[in-house]
Amino acid sequence: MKHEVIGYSSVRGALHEKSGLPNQDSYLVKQFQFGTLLVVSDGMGSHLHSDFGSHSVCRSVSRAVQLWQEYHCDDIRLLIPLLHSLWGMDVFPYPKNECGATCLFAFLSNENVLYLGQLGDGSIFYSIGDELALLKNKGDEFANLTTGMDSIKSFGDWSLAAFCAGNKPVKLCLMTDGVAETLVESRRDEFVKLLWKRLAEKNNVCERNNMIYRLLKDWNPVNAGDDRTLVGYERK
Amino acid sequence: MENKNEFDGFVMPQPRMLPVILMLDVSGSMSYDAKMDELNSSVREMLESFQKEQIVQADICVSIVTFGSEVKVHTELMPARDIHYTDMIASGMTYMGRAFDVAYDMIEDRTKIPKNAYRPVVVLVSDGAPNDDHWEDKLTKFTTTGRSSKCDRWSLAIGADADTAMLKRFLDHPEKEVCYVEDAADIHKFFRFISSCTIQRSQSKNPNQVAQDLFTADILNINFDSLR
Repeated sequence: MKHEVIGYSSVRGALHEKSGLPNQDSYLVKQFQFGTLLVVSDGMGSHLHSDFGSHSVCRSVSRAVQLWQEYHCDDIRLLIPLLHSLWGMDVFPYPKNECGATCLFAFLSNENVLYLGQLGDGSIFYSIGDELALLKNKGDEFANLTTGMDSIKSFGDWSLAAFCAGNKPVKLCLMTDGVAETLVESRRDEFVKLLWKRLAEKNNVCERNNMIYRLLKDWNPVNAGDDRTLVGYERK
Repeated sequence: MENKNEFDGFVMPQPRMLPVILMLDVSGSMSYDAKMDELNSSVREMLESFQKEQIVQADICVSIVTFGSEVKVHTELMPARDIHYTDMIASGMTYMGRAFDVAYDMIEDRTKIPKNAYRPVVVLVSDGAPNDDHWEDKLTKFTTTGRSSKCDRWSLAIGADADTAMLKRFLDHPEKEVCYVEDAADIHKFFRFISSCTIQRSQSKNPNQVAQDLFTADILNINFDSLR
């Protein structure tokens, strides 16, 4: 029998607090009968309805995964057009370009296949067995004018992966750029490993969520302007 | 067991860098009509405006590359608050092509501009035309390859002798226009515009975002209060 350790939280950035704007990040953690889904989304600050857009991303990924699963489909690429269509309908009647948001998701099926997808910035760390990896390396994209659900130019904008995990332990950490881009680069792996370790020590999801909330709330103030969202997961 | 502050060292202690690179013409012609004096006072005013701003989301860092017969880094890339500005002196030819190479190398250097820096602002100011060899190739390299191709690029033409077609090629967006000033006394307006845009970016939630409505704005007649 599988044992899942999940913790998640999100806090509003200092700049949004100061200007009375909502938290534009969203997240979703959902345990289906056929697997577990994690989603985080960062609404683009310059878009009028970006908070709604990021909520819609979470809803749309959830619906898309359910439909995709109904067709017993295991090609993750077929999920993406479905997701974009659902998101477009979900944000309607708002124009898509007022609802821009990133999309990071992880789905671990009961068949022990791990599916990962990322559009835009933020980070997905994953570990199958022992090795820690990052789905999308930012490379030299300091000029990263984030690609969002509204501004995708080609299928290549998505980073996608599928892994057969078998019975190996699976660990995941999804974070928006308010977390990912403010971590000391050379210590990111260490941060993620320590997070997993501490989450595993907690007794229940409330304790884990509180721990993540405190972590995000106590972020170094010089880098706390942006909204911050983090989801940690382990399947033992 | 969890220690209260064990996560403290994982977050960067400094805000992310927002680089501003000024590529300034210091050829002999800049010594006429008080152009050099105006340029010096405009740059000084820009630096003071950056120094006054409270750092919120980004740390504005400035470098100045000058080009006359000699191309040099007049000011190394550093936080605006740490710069002690010394006036530039005009003399010689307009070796702008070499300046493109110097700025290109600076932007490519990940030890100077880290990966997590915000999109740099690059400003090119000239009252003439490049007259070194292969400048066109160097301009093309700067605008189409590497990290410099992704920068937020602006240009200012001073007087009728400025090569506005070349300055237009320098821009990063087809809707942007070269800012043209006939009178040296208006140079400071352009620099106030760049300062305001940069400060606005440094205080926004997404400092990578450049407001597109500014591309075609009447830069010399902007009420800067409305940008804040």
